[in-house]
Amino acid sequence: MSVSRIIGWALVAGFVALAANNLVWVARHREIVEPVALGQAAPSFDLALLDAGRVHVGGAGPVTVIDFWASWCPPCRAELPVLDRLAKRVAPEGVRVLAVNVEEAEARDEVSSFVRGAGLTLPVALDGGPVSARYRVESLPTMAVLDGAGRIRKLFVGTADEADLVAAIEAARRAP
Amino acid sequence: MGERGEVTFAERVGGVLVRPRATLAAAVEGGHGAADVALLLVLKVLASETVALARAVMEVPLVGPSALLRGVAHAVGSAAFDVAAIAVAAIVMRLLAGPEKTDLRGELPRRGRAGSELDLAAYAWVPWLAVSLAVWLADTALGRSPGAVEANAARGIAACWAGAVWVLGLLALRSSTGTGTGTGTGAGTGTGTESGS
Repeated sequence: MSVSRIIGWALVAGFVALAANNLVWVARHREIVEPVALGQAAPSFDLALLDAGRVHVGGAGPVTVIDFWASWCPPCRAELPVLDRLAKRVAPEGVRVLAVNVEEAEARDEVSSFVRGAGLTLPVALDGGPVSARYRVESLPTMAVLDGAGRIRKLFVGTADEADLVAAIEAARRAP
Repeated sequence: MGERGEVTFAERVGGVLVRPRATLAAAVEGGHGAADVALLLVLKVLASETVALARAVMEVPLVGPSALLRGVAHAVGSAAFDVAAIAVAAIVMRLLAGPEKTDLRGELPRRGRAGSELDLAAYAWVPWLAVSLAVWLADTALGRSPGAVEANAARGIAACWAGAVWVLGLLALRSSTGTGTGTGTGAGTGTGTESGS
């Protein structure tokens, strides 16, 4: 067998070995890789709010809509005023809408500027990434609707219609 | 070499690394560079994006087929730099190869067969892939990520090696008609054959 052929097959074998190694890693770390599943308990978290104070999500509590967003994400910026209106509309029913910003701490001024500029009044929590990672957020915006038992009832990847969100909230409120 | 004398995929890809002049000269005449490197890029994407692809598959029951499409798009996008580099290298190679001498009718036939510059530019990317793979394997074996100095050194070696192969490809293309500046590589016009070693 020629040296060229050996080197060529070594290249192929190297890539295949890496892929196999990664597959083994995935199999051994399913709890990290697997997406959060509908009906399962939502990952709990405690985050600082943009204005002041902290917010806790996890376990039994109010029906909650969590919106993961970033100030550099145009669809997120377009979605937030809709969520803000929705938050005011459903607050009397005991439903909480929470915007979780996924950017690093350095972006806090930009986040604050956008929130003030848009006149948002819903609570904005600051997450440098760990919480969004636990929710397996890979695309922004991503929204999770939690029922009163703290279980994930619906996930929206990308923007969602207000009517769909309302329907998801109603379903979460009816959930046992 | 294959049983019927044809050069196999592995010989061509390995040949770029150990016998670049002969391999590139052969590629000018009847190359498979684009197809060979496309296969390597698919393997690279599968190896580098295994976790993302696995996660996308797991998300399908949760958020629908769009999760898989998004995962595949993300994986394919990870090869965008490689594809862009090859495309730019091919365009520059075609520009630098220039036309043949004007013939009696005043026409300017192009050097090499159509698409040869893409094959050659693709082959020039093989050293980059090989060095990246070597670093990757070493890091996996050692269970750590490379430091900035190591990563930059590896990128430098890969870029220099790929650049050298690209220059050899350009010279092979310019000498492909026998009317170019000549390369002195001894590669000739290539016949798609190599001797085993």
